[in-house]
Amino acid sequence: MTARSGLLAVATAAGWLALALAAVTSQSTPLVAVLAGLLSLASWHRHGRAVAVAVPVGCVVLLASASSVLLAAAAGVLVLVQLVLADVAADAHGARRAQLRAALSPLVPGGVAAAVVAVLVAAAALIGARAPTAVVAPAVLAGPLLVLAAVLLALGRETRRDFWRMLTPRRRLSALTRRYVERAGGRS
Amino acid sequence: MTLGRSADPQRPRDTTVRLRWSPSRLTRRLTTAGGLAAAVAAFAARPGLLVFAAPLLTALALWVRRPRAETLQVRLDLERPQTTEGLPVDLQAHVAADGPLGSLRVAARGEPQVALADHVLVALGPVADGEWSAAPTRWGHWVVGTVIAEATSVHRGWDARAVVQAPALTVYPPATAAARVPPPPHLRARLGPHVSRTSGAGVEFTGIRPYQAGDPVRRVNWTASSKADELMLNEYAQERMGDVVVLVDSIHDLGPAGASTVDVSVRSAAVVAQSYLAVADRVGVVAFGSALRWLTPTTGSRQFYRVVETLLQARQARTYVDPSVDRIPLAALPNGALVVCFSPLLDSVAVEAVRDLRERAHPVVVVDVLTERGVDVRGDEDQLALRIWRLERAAVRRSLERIGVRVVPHAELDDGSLHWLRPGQEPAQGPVQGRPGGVGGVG
Repeated sequence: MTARSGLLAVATAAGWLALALAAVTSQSTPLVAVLAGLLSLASWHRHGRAVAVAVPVGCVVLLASASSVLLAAAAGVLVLVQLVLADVAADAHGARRAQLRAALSPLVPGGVAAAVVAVLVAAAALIGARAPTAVVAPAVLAGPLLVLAAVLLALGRETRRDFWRMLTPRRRLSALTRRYVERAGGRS
Repeated sequence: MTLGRSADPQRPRDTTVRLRWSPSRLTRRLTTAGGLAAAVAAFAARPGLLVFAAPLLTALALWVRRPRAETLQVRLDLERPQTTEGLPVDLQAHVAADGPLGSLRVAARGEPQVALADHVLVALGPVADGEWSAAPTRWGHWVVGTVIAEATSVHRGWDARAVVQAPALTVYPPATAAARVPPPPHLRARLGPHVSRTSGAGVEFTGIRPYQAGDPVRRVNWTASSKADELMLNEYAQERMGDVVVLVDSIHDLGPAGASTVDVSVRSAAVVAQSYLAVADRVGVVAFGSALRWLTPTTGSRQFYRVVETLLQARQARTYVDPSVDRIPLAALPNGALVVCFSPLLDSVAVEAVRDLRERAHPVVVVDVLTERGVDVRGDEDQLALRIWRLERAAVRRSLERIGVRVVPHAELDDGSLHWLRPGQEPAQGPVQGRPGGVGGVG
């Protein structure tokens, strides 16, 4: 087994485990998990990237009718592992294990942080379930929107960094204005 | 965006490309999965989905940091800048980034005239080295293809793509010298490879004659002298060189790419030129197309490459000026030179040029490169039109043959011997007869 095959095998196993965890307490039909699991096998083929989100979408469908928060957190972490490993494996044709370790090592801190956040959010959700409804209802509605807005803001800030940087000089005085100010004896 | 290139246009070729980063495949997937889960959690009031989306969105926020690499250095090296049709050339690529990268994918895409091996090089790091085999399928000046480098940032949140044009490649038509080359009808008064009818200081024995004062004694045939009771002398044939001018009619280029009339003409013309140059004859060329180009006949192996370079230009320039033999200088068309013309015999300008050359007492052989492959005949009218067209072409050939021009269909050529290069019979009433009508006229 090559290093890439091993990586894909781990990714597939993580995806199937996530689907199984999502299906444990779900009221949806288990056929969703089976179908998503089969579609996830397409990541073994070089042209099968279009169905790479089959596992997360399947998990969302299953978790929409599930009750366990802890299983949802575990499924989220496993889906993250599956997505990352499948993405690295797509660029790992003929790669050695040392190269794979070097490619994955920068991603480990972010993955650990994501898992910690998942546990914290799950704990908050469990605590919130025992809190009064008047407090929980707005939090459940606003929480996802706030997280999504924060992520989009971070994404937009990074993608448009050049744009913001370009705006900075415009706030300064133009050459004509600066010359006028200098002649008038003002600040330059 | 290309920042700079090396001064040498041939090899190796360095190109610096500024990277324009955009969200990667992983970023799009995490956004899709996390966004979908968060949206459903908000609308369906499901805290489980929010917990599910939390690690995905957290990872997305952490890995979306801006990559540090700003430029890619692409070094392309072609094994050699010239090759022959069908002979593959290696294209080597060395791609390196000025900062850390998660992965680097390098692919090469060939042009229609140059087939490139379809494999993608992937490296988990900022440096990638690859090699592709480029097999040219058609003669000419071509760009080998494009090299596409796709970079992914260290945290796999960003992708960038750089496209670099590969170096140019000159593809020569395949030319193998024929084993037997018929001598041109008119030989020049210069030492060469062909046995002439006049006696001289060659090595080919032609006969015996009585000794005359001043003859070299070393050529006395003592056996014959003892039998004839007088001094008899061996006679040898003079060995001389000939002039051959290859004329390629590229006014019209018909047929599929790679097998068009100009393609066929240039390949056969290269064989003729190589064959005569191999026996030390003088060979020149006239590219008789929209742009008229010529090359003065001379000998030597380097002349072959000059001839081929001139032929390669047959397909390039396009003008609205009709070519004319009158514009060709005498040095490019020496008196008595054998003219081998490759033409589809479709344009009256080309046919008139052949007649003009024959009127100047050049021995002329015309190779008709037009074939009927791909002619679609569907009904009776098409059949009739095809028949009329064949008759018109037969009339053109006959009109040329009547003035002493030999017309050979390209299908009958045998590049191994070039026996078809013997010119036609001289007309009974001199080298030139009355000129028949236009292209379709019957002589």
